[in-house]
Amino acid sequence: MAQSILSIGIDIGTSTSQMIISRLTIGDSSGMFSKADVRVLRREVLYASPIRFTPLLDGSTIDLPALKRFVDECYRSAGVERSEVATGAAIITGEAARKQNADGVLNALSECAGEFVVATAGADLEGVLAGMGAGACAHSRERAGRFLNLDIGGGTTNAAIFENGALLDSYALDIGGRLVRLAADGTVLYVSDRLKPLMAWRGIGLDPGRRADWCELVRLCEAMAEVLSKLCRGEALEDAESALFIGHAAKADCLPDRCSFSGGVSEYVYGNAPVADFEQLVFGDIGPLLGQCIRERFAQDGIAVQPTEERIRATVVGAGCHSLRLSGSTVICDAEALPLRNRPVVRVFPGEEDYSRLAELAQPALARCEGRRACLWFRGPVSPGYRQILEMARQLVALADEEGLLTVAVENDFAKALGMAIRRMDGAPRRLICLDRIRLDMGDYIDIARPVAGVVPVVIKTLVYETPS
Amino acid sequence: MNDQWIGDLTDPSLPREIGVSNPADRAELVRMQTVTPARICVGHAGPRYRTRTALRFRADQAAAADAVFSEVSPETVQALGLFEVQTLCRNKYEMLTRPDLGRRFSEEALQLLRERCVHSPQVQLYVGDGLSAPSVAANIPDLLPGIADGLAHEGVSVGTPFFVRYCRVNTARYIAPALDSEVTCVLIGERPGLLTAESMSAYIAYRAHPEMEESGYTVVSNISRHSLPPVEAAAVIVELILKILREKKSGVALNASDL
Repeated sequence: MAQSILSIGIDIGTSTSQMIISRLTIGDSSGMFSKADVRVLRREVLYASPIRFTPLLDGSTIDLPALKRFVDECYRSAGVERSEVATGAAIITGEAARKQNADGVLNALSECAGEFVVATAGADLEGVLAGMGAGACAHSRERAGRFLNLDIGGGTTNAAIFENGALLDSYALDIGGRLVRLAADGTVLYVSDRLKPLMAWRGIGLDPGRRADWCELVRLCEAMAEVLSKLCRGEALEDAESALFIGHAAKADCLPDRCSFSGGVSEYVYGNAPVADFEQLVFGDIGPLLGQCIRERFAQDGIAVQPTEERIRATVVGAGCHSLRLSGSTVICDAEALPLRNRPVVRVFPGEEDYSRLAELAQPALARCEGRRACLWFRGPVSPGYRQILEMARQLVALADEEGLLTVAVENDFAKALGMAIRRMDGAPRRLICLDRIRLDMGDYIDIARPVAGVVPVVIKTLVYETPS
Repeated sequence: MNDQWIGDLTDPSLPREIGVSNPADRAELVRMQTVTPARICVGHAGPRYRTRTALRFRADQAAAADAVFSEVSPETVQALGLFEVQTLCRNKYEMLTRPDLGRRFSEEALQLLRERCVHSPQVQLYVGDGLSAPSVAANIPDLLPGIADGLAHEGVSVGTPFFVRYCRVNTARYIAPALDSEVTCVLIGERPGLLTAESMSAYIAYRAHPEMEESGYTVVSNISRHSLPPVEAAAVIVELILKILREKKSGVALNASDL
């Protein structure tokens, strides 16, 4: 039977912040005679907040009390109580994701956003969530080819490429609408340092305090549009262009067949009002001009651009509607141990899996985790034998944390059998969570919610913060 | 025909073939095949299958038919630690043509069951060949101990398991009264398909009796290494049996109690 839960998404970006509340309907999509196949059947956005400038104290430090007030306001306008929200994710990106901010935001949000709201960070992850929110991931499942979504915001462009619903690559670039800010009369107020190599290479001059030459602004936006076009066509980038990558470059062998845009600037990529002078730069930045340059450049280069379901809200919709994963329908979990947050993942076998060495390999990694609190993960055989299940159970039984809770997740479908076998062992852990159909990796963190419609929702995340470059 | 060249067409490890000649996008056809076990992208020769497609289809169909007509060997029954009884059917052919005989036992067979089995267990498990003999050896070694251990751990008494030759699901109607079992669970070979001939189902009934309705069975189907792995099926069955014992009903009545 279908059940619905409320999920929230919060996007705290370099320039804007927003929040949505959505209803996820979870139920069995299998036929009458087959085993349950529980999925998210429907995603509806119930409330979308106004888009606000991210509250900052001094250009780079987030104003936490103001952020809390914003979240409070959203809950009030939506008419939803915190206690009704079952899951969700907040994503902190760009400047906002610097370490000193991120910690404060994490704490502030866990107090004000709800019991099970996960905080995540990272430009790559933002690209992935935006790609899901924009619909690129779903399109790639329905049609042949590779789908690239470019989420172009104020500070960064976050790219994600999907094929058959799976992520192939994600990367981020310092291309955004608010990297240059202007006064109403065209006086340059701010130019991001990250644009300096590109501007020097192209010979573009923009000096803060002086009135910008419109032609120079157009050349800068065209230069940024060209970088995106080259990435879509697989053309090599010049050094000054590659310098725009954040952290790492795009994979070389991963050319898209189609692309789509989301983020604030995408409103101008898909729009067609001409942007011809300073009056049209309505937010005091180059966003509208950048959007127009991208539209023209992509049309000129014959790159297939397709419409998106969400533009400026793509990331927040991704965080609110698509961050959730569901376990298989036959699992074991002691619901009173849930929810669990921030369990570091211990991938027991880096390569070949030898179940007789499970305990031996897992022990040292567990010892490094605080209170031995972790989630053990391995693939497991597609159809294990009963003896294999007993062997795994024998190995796992002593690997509980300090509170007597054992948390195990596997990829293949045998968690119920394994969980039952563990419970039958001498010295069985006091409480047990044993999930399947979940794919994890070393360095991931996992949050596990209470069961819904017979499955266990989990949120998998990578807590990698941006380091100031 | 040179059989070294053609090989065993029913070998499950054979790669699936793209029979479409000169496909515009071969990778996409390969992807389409991954989402269904149906024989798609096999191409054609005029309005018909290509020779290889036709041969493979007939080979798989023959394997399915063999699974129906083959016998579970006495050695297999012994290796599983089971003893054997037979329904009123004298052979496979009779079993297929006379469902009425495939559900009933001679007085001698019932006598043997009463002598060798524990009486009045909470749960009676037994194994039947049904329509697929190979499914017994393929699944029972992982399925039966998984169910028995799981139930024993929950403090449920489990009867003495046995094997029924020429067995139909409705043997449960006669086994349950003979052994006075509260819940009766038959693990029985399913009608083979072209995908696998090794699938089995579990039919579970609360207080089965000769006049019960078909809707009184709770079923777990598609148990095989290709679909629901037998160890996981065992865990699912344990949980279902516990629920049936708790609710004192099975089949449609049990599902209705969820609403």
